[in-house]
Amino acid sequence: MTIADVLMVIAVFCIWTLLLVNIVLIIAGYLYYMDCEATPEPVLSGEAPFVSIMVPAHNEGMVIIPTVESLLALDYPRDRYEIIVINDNSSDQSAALLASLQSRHSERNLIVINTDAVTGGKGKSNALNIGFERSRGELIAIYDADNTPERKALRYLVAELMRDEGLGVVIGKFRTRNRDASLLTRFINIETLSFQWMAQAGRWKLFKLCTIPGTNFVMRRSIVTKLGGWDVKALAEDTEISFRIYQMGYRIKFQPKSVTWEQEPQTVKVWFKQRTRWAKGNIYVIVKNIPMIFRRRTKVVRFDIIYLLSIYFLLLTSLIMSDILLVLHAMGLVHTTIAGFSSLLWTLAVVLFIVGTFITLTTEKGELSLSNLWQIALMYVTYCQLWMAVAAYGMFAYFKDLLYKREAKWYKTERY
Amino acid sequence: MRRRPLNQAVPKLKPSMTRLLILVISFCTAASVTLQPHVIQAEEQPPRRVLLLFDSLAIGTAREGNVEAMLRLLAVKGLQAKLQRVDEYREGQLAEYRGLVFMANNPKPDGSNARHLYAEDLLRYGLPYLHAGYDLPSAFAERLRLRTALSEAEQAQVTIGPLEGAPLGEAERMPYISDSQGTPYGSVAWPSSGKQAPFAVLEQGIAYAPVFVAGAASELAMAYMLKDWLGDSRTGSAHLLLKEIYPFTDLALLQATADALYDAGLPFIYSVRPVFANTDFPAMRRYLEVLKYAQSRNGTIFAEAPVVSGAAGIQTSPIKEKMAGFLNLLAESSIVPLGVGADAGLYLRNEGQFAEEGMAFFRSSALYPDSDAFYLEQAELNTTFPESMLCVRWDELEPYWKDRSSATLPVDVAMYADFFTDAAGMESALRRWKSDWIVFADFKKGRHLTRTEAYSLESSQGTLAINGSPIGLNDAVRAVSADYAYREEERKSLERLFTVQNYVYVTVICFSLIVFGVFLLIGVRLYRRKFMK
Repeated sequence: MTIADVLMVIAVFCIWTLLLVNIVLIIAGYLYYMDCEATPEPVLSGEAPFVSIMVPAHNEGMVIIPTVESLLALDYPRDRYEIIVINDNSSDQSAALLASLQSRHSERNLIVINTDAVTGGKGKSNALNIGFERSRGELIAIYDADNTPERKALRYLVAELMRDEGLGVVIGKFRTRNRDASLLTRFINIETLSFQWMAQAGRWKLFKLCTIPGTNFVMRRSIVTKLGGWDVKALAEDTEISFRIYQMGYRIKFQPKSVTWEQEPQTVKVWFKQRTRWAKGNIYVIVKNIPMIFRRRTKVVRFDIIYLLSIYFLLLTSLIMSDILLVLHAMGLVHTTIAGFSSLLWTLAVVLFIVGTFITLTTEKGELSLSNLWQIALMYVTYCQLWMAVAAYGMFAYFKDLLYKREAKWYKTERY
Repeated sequence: MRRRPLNQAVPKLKPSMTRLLILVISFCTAASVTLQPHVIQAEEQPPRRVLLLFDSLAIGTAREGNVEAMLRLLAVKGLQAKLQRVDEYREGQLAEYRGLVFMANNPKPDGSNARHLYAEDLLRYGLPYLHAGYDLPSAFAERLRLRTALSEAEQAQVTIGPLEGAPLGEAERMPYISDSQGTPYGSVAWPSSGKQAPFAVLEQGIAYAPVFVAGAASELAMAYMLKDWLGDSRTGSAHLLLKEIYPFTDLALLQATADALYDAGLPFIYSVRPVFANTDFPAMRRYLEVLKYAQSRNGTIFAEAPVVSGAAGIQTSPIKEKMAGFLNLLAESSIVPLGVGADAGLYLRNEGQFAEEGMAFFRSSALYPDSDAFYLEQAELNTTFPESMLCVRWDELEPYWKDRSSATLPVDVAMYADFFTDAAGMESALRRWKSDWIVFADFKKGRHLTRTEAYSLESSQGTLAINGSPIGLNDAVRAVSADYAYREEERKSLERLFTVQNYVYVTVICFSLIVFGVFLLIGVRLYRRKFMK
């Protein structure tokens, strides 16, 4: 066996192991879906806790008003929640728009914090920390500036959190508002649904673990206080804080009945930027939390770290390595002699991907269609392959920043 | 003949024993005849050496190409020949040869020193002499009592053997024999002026052919005279030869053509391009099966010399091995290649000793005239083919070939055509072959021999033999399985591990797909209940 053979064996092992893990997650996620269908919506009992809803916004003039209006319309006692919009160093008309809205709803608990380049402009984590200082709710809810939560979204989250002391955070579901805008948004719609019903629901069912998605979630104020707020170095502040919450011994639960609709990138360029930031942020979180694998106290989150590690390091390097070896082999520069899998197996694996993904779509209204089935097949050869480029570029950017000791730069997703 | 003394020697034996003995001896005799090597010994007499001189290649005139045509004719007659310009003649050179051919294409020759030396030697040595073109030297002209004149600039027509009125080259003023003694060969006519003259005359080793040009009719006419000039008593036959046959040729059409020719009673020759690589591929096996089938349908197989190009270069070292490999492959497939087909230029130029390396396996050849002139100024033919055919395009002579059953041919003539691109082309040609007067002979009827280190491939009286054993002509095309490993299976490491993994993964995925199928059914029901009420 040559070195190329050994590398190839490792790569193949990683790829197929992750495939098997994902099968388990899909099954678990679907079982959780059936549990949810059999369980009534969570109901708030007693006095509703005071909730501070924080909306970090940087140049979000195009979308911020509908977002805040939908938050104002939430089915939650008006006097029991406040909305804090952190208009973070915006150069657009956000401040004026928010001021106007504020004056129209002067009777409501709507707070607008305008920061400049000195007091803000350092990314989402910093904006959340600023907002947190002004908040007074015993629960903290966060929504992205492009979100349109359904009226009962907050109610379900709070009700779920209040009935279990062991829960540190309850996360809701996010859907794609602009699903039909382009083929890319259709792919993103499929991806987000399958991710939530596979990775979030599946992990909750199996390990009582979820990752905070960045929007539509509610958490206990005490936790944020203990954690000292959000890590300003983190680009994926949601994943980062999830790990710290795990370490405190709290669980994070997925409540799919709480739904928010958000706008997704409509062009590949914007999508690539957004996903590269996520990839880079997730790599930061992995590197920061790798020691947790060896700590007994945090054994419950081992799966999450190993899973992320597998996806961003093992799977990525395996895919890149197997592709490089394939190309070099075709060019006659390296020689691999290891046996391969049968064509039947590869075909079955692709069928499994398509069917598995399609199952997660049957949970949502309007998604059980033949066109979605074709789109999943198309997605396999296009969108999924792009992920490799995103993850590779994210890793490259992360290590480049590390090497040159540069601070991570937060870039905002473009709105439409 | 041998049984008679045996029968006479057994009257004392019992009748049953006699019959048994006769049976055994007959069997042994038959076996010994069958197994006896049928190797045709090469002519013991070494080929005659002839010097071919020319004064001009006549480029741009009606005579252009006639030097190469003459050289090709000499090769067809199995002669060793040396071609050179007369200006390069050296004193005494004629002593090395047993015949002299002079191509006088220049109507106004200069008086170079070499030419004077040549003229003196010519008188001194008194060799059999063939002169084509202008100005037969006066000493020979006197012996022929020759008188010549110049024709008008009109296209001449030759009539000789089965040919009648076949055109000779372009319209140009040419010398012709107005009077002579000796044997005349054919006649040349200029229709508008009404002039008529012999194509050539021969008298006591001195031959003169004033209007010899390149072209099928002229070459065939010259062959009549050459035969007598060389004192060759053999006569020839016409053979139908189809060339441009490759493994990529439409095999069904190749087979159908063989059937059609067989049904029409037309023996034929398939001249096939050699294949040096991937000869174990199913496509090649199928090709060989069809060639074997064609052989069984009264067909003869010729192997063509490999195509060499300036770009590829002539690969001298392996060509002998490659060609031998191809011939061996044919032999192993019970196909007996009886001759070599080659573009004449390839053979005459003999670059990189191509003739010695790639063609020396054969005694029979078909040298195809080149479509483009290659203006050969010097050549030395050492590798000769005693059983060669003069190649002429079938459609060039066919219109002038008349019903002259008494006319014999002076050499074997291969009337060739390219293999057809479609069935319609084949059917059209077949109709003409059936209706015209050309009688095609079976090449296998003659004695031919091809020899590699491993195989002796021969024909005699229509029987084909490999290493002395007659081959059975099996006319069934065997099906060749397409199941072939085009690339040698590599030794794979961890094969067992991957086989087990493969099995495990397939099982897991199939199980998962079943589970997913159940989920899908539940999901669709739930979906309808929730969203489609």
